[in-house]
Amino acid sequence: MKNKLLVKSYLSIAILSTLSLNSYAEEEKYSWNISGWINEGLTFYDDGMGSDVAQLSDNGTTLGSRITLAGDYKLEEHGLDVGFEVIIEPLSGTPNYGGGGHQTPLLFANQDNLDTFNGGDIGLLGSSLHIGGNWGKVTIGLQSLPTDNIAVLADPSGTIWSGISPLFRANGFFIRGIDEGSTNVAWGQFAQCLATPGLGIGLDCNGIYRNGVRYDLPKMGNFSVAVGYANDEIYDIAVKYSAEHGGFKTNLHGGYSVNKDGGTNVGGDGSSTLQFQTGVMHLESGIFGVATYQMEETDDAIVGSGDDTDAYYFKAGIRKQYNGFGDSAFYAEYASYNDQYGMAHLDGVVGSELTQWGIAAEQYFGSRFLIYAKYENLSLDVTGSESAQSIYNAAKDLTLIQLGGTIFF
Amino acid sequence: MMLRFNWYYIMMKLTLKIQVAIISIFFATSSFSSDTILWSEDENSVIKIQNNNFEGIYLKKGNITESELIEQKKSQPVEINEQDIFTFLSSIKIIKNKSTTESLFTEKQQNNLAKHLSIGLKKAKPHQDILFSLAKEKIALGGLKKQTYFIAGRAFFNDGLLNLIIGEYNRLANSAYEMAYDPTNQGLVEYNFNYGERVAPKFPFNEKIVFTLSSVTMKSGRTDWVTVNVEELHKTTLSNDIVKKGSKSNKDTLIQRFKILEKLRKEELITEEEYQQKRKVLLRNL
Repeated sequence: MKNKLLVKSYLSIAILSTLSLNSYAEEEKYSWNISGWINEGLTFYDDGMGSDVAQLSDNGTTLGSRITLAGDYKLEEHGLDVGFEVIIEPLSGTPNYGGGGHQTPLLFANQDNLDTFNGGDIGLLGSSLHIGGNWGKVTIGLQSLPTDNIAVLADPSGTIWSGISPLFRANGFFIRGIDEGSTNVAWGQFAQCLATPGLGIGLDCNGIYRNGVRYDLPKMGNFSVAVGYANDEIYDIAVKYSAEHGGFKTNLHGGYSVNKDGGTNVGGDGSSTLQFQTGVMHLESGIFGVATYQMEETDDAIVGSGDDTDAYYFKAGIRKQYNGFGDSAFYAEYASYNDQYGMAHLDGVVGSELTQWGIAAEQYFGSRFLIYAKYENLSLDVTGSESAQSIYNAAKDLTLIQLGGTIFF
Repeated sequence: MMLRFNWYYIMMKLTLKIQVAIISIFFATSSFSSDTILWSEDENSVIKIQNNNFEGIYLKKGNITESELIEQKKSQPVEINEQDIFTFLSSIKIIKNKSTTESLFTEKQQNNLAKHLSIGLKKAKPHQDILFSLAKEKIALGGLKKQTYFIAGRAFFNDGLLNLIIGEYNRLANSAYEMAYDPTNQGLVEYNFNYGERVAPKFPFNEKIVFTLSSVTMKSGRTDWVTVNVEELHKTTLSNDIVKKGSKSNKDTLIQRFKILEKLRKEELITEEEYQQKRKVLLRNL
């Protein structure tokens, strides 16, 4: 009983200390913040051979559930701001391509999900320190580098939680109908990134958090420019333009990155990635459109491998308030991921096109909560030897119907 | 063949130059709109003058001239005292529950908006409105959670009335969303605010509000449109000033009385009991 009282007292003191510490910190121009979002959903899939419903907790690491802890400290006398950011994600691990063994992580949940899987690990997405002033901002640590999300965030509609250009689902589902010897080939095999070998998301190919340094120049009018360096010899530069012209909101993002070790999945020495995304929205009507382009290449790759690729993504729709809950959005999207077949040339593939199209509806409830429904289809077309044709051209389409929700805090 | 080649070459060069010129003009121009920024803290905290697309239609069509519009509508430009606008803004309260109200604008917002509305109304043309989006911050969880809320709307002057339309109130800034869009927090996220409409919107601001001034009323049939008679408002502000000055002189007298009482006790001209009795009386008059 005494122990319980003691514990309670200590707990009270700890809580009070925390509260008083924060009040004090406030006076000292120090501020904390906890924010993030939780994204959960249900997916019905039909891979041409079977169908089922899977509970998917995320739609990829870009927009997967996350908790961000951030702090800022203003050193006014020196004209500096310093701070930190730690981002944690309730996911980690590697996909369960083998169909057994370790458990499937939430990130790339697929039709092989084990029914004994009841949770995931906490993963560290980012951890960085920054210092800024009139001269710009330097960020060091595990972070989002300048060209991360270049092919994602120029979308002025904000309808990104249900539809973005990277094909995260491609890693979670196997291509069915193909030659039996290749039954565990995931759709991601035909959306291979050269900048990040092994990442089968097709677009936003330098889009993972990396250990490095980033410098953001001061914003110049409607332009912002950032340069970055990440382990191991990855350099990138990104330019973002955002403005309103005659009732139209216009975003244009461009990014170029060089990964000296990229392209190793096809035996290359290094790779370069060029990405553009532009988005326009008519503010009064809510009609919007997004166009995305990415080109990747690698030098000295294995002859015949997917060493020169490109990808496109388009989205068009409307976001407007039609009811008392908040905005509603309806859109259609189309994407084409070309020659991202990586080492499938060993099967005789010399060209590939993974096509994705979808339609979606979103309903916002204020700015804290949204629900979405989406229908999408993935199909594959390969060119190559007779052997390649026989393996892949019987590939069945993948159909996904997703119902999900995201809550922001 | 040679001629065709040159022609093609010249056309290509010309097309390229035209394309470069168009792109340069597009990006070099910060904005094609007629916005005049009166005040701005960041992308989302702005007070600006903008065409209202209401009276502007008559002007565009040439049905009416600007001076006729000013005369007919008794509209802007107009000079309204900053203190009067402050009194008006501070008189608008949101009913939180049966016994509590909350000011529509924080004191900081009232000061800021009053100052810039006064400037803006002098500059604005009859077919223009003054649009505002202002932020306030709330700290929760013992300082661990900071949340920004926005209020947005428009103000204009017509027929002796200062009009305020509330587009949205307490709109939550989505810090998680901002972090995804702008990971290095450069202020790249710009919200599409609802500034309210003169034509009744489908989903207007509809919180219950009350006023502490009799000259302030809701426009009939609207829950988002507040008006105040500027002449009456000015009279109220003047009388408030007189009351304030009066209460200040009363306070001064009271302070003097405390000092005299203190002196009388120190010099033992009154007993401790008398001192305490008199002090209680003075305290009651505070």
